[in-house]
Amino acid sequence: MATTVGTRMERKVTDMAVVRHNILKDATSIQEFADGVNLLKQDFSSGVTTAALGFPGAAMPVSTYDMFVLWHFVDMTTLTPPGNASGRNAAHRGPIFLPWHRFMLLLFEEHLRRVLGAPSFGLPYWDWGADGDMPVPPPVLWTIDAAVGGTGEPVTTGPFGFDAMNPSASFRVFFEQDADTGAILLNREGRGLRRQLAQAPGFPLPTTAEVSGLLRDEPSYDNPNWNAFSLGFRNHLEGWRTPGPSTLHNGVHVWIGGDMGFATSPNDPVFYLNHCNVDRVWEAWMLQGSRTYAPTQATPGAPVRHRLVDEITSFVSQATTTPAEMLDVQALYTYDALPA
Amino acid sequence: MNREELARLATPEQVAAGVEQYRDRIPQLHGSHEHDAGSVREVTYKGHEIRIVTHYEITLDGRPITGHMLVSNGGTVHYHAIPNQEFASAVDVVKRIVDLSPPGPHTPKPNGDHGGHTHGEEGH
Repeated sequence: MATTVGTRMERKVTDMAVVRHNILKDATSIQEFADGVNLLKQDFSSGVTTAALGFPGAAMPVSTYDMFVLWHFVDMTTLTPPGNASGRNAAHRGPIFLPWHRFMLLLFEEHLRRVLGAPSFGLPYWDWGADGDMPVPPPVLWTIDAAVGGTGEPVTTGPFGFDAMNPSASFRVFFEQDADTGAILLNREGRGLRRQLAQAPGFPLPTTAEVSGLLRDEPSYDNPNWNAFSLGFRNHLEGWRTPGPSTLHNGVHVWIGGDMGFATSPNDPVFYLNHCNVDRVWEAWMLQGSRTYAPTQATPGAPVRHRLVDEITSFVSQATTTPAEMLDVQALYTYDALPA
Repeated sequence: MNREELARLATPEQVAAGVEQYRDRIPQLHGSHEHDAGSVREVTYKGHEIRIVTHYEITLDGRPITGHMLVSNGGTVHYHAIPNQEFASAVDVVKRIVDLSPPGPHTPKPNGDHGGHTHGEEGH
């Protein structure tokens, strides 16, 4: 049975891999991504409330979208192992960074398909390297209001804009991190999204040359001490190049600023466009070499929760996975183009 | 994992079941994370054990900044609340807090509505 969503012909494709498109080159992806995010933000069908999550006061329903924000926050503030001096956590600053986010994107993408009723929808990516090559800002993504809106505190344009005259119909942030304490706060009224595009001095967008250099120069996935100071592909792509400013994945977070600067960064839907591109670069790296990962269970000193067959759990599903299972997911999705 | 399995794992029922199954992580959501004794660096040099514990006492416009900071062996500072950056110093951390804060005068946070946990008496 065929149905039409946007300009793409839909059909039963539960046994076929979806294609993830460049958001700037696929009008359907732009529209479906924006629609899906806003639907997921209004999806309270799980019945989860703030009371069930331990927030004091009257129970408020928590949207499926916001559950992903909370999952990211929880794992980012869980040091692995507890108390480690490098700040390695259950999702970042260690080898788990890429498979953890691949798992997160898979579940998020599937929820978008569910609320859109679009079985062939693939999460789009933002090829920030291409925008970083442009000599004059603003980059293309931010000039298309229909895509993700622009900058501001709050953002007032695009599908995630805040309308002070009609806040209840606006995209709103309910869970935010307190910059002073690091604690998560429940903002019961909700507020508009915050972005500060290109306002952090010394943090330009990455370029395609940086991505090419990464693919060319990093033959190993990761190395001891398996943290934000390691040599290897994962740490380079995550954006920890010391000395020097954050770059690549981290640099994009900093370049966008506002809500993207915190552990609650999935509050900004652009988080997913950034991470989809990060995942795309990882896929390119594996295809040009091999689907390898380090460390394994046998690696001396390898941190638990970062090894090849350590379990990755979710906060939004009973589903679990491992880095090993995340290495080859071509049965689930492919990309329309890979960087070289 | 195939697409049918994935679809079964991304449902509203699974969201509720995930919260129930991982209930032990809810305290982490409210900041029971890593109440430590400061940032601890331990290095062995020529057979000698070096241990450096760093505590910060920071205020910004008089209010305490109590989020967890880590100092690397290279001397850079990582602040959990601003996780995508490594800073040259704690001063730069606080400058970035200013940059990321909403424009205008500081306003109190909404109700401290974060699960009854108190931060920062010590160790941050």
